Amino acid sequence: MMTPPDSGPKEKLARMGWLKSAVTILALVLVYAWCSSSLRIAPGQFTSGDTWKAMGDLVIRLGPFHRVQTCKDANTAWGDDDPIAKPDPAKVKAVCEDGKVLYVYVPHYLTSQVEYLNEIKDPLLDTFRMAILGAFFGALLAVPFSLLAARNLVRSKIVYWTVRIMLNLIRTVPDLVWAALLAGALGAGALPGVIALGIFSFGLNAKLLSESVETIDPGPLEAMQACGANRFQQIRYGVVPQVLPQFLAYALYVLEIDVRASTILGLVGAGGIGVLFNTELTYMRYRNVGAIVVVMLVIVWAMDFISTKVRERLI
Amino acid sequence: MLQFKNIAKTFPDGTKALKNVNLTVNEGEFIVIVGLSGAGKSTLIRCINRLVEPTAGQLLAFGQDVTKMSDAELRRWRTQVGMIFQSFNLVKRSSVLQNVLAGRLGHTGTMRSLLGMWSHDDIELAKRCLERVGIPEKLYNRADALSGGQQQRVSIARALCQKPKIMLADEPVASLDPPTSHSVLRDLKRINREDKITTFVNLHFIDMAQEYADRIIGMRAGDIVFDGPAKDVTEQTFEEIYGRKIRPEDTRAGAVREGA
Amino acid sequence: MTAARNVGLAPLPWWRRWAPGFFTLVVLAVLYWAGAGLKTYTLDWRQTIPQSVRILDLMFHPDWAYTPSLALKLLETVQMALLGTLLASVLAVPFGFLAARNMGKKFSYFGKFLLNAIRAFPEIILAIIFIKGVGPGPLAGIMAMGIHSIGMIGKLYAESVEAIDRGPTEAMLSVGANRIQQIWFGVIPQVLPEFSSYALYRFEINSRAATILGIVGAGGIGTDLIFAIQQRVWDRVGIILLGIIVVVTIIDVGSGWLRKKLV
Repeated sequence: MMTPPDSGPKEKLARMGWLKSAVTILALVLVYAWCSSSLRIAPGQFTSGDTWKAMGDLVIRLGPFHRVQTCKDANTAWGDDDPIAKPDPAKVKAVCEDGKVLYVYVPHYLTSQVEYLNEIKDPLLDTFRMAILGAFFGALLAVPFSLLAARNLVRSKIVYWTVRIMLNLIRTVPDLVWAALLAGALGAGALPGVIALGIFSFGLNAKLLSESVETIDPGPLEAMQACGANRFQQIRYGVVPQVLPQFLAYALYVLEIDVRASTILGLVGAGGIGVLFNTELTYMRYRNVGAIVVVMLVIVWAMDFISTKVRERLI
Repeated sequence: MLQFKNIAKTFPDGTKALKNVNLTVNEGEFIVIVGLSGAGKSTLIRCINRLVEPTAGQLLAFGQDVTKMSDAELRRWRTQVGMIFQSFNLVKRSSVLQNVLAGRLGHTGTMRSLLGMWSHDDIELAKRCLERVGIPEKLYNRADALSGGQQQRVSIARALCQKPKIMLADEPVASLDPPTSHSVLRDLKRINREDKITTFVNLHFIDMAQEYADRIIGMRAGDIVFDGPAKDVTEQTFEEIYGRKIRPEDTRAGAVREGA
Repeated sequence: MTAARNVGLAPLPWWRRWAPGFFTLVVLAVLYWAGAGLKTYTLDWRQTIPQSVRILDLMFHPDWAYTPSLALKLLETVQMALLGTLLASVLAVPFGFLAARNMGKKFSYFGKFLLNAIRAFPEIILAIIFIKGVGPGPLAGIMAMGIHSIGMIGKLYAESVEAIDRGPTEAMLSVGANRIQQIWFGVIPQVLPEFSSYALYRFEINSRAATILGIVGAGGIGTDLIFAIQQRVWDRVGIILLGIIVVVTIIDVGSGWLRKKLV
């Protein structure tokens, strides 16, 4: 029977198991301290009462509540485009004399919101239009490039690496940055949004598709080569049938991402309801902002739901 | 010392795993339970540490009814019952030492165990348990770097570390090759002799049952159909227990011939 | 010689034959609706193309003098992402366990619902809300990224916990460990590597998000970028883009390497 060795480098390292965890935790704490100190962030800021009050104020006003802060507001029917019944005298007194801040429920909230949504029908549909066009052209364009970025199809290392690097560069830039650049160059509107989404979709589709192509069964491709088909025919009959279902799945997945992204592209001027969001925010019409936020949430949930259902069907 | 009184277990889906089990076990016995899959062997031994809750009956252990124990009492009882599993159930990424020390969890406070502050005595105990199963040099190796037989030994060491009064082994050798299987059972037998730990082993290999058991219990469809000393058991007894003729895959040696 | 059997395939039913064509028609119809409805002003291509070329040319001659401020801002961006991901990956752990069917049991549905609700909010919207609360600057961005990441990471954690091998937990049960010990010794060792991997992956994504959040004022390089674009200082835009690409690539490569080592 052997006696356990108490020394030896491997054993010493294994005994230091707890040391590894301790060092990791220490490193993470240091990272936290370094970041928060150089960003001049004190934990107290997260939790101070003023912070929550300010955020709560905004969130309330996103909903069916109107803030009454000044005596003038309290005494008049405020806002030509925002008529609200006058509050009762007790409340008027509270604001004018006691300096209180009141939140008044807005009557006919739902109808007014539905009206508003009707008004913004066009930008809303624009959002979908941008996503659809961008996703479609992006997916289409991705096909030839994904073939070039597949190791098993491309013989020239130069071509392979060039395309790979180009695709990686495209994907490194976030979609909103593309939108901002294009909106700045081409002017505001939906077109820069479409192009931005197109570039983004192109990059994502190409990467996913190229990975798919790299994992195909080489058999059919070999068979096509053997029977004397040219390169295009080899791909059409040896590769495409195998990756077609995955290509469609990826295209739909990217479409889903595009719809989510298109809701916020407008923040930089690239069309869709994001533009409205900016406008309403600037004019501090928070109820409308709230309506747009709800629309965004509904879109996100709907896309999530649809894609889950579609994915279940496909699998 | 351990008594099953009219123990029954019906699962929520209606399966009657144990029908009416009466059994008395004395200290230090080495009992092998045989039977086909689904006969209730696993359910029976899991009643002992209440990993399975009996739906009827009493289980008296040293005078106390296990089925009526509170949570705290149950945990204390479980520290007295060591269990080894067919799939070893080791924490793969942890070291052998950590796995064996887990046997002391029931005796260690939560905070200390979370921080890994095992007492010196505990660590020494763990080392001694590993020595007893013959692999002391593997102390600091990762658990999944060991062979099957070695992993099962580690789990035996973990059970030993609990200083248990009872040892349960649920198909301990089903995943191991024949020589290793015999080796593990020899270890279990030796520990049973040396420490006088009452041992229950589930096996479906009849030749191993005959070789190692003091007492054999045969189960069929939730009932005990045979209970007697191993020397009284013949192939015919097994046929009665199984309700069919013996096949080659029922014996360990036979399993080798089949190329299994 | 056996007689040749007739193995002719039955003709496809009519809907199977027309399905691809029908599908294509639907896609074309949708595209037409999308394209035609888009109220794009007609671009004056004679102007736009040379203008775009000029812009591209300027971008490819980056404003190297800006590099020091750029580096500082990039560091700030990375720190935002680090902090946000760090906090989120720790805070998401209880949510992950809550939402896992084998840990949260009856509450797992509530946990999953909660995580889905958090995930639905686009980070930018959260950032705008937090800017109202703590003012513009990195803190708002960190909070926005943090909360959004809790939702994202929490879901992944939950899936991880649901997929564990129950064996070691059973062993802990049999040894007489209490619930906390069972989780610490039976569950955590299995899921910790996966948790770390998810956190690193999230860090990669958050480093991109951090560059964007500045656009709405939540700190980081986004602010500089949007200013440069609005003021049409294209060479500065070029250097900022370059900086973003370099940093994000480094983070991607580093995180990818670390994640391989974890598994």
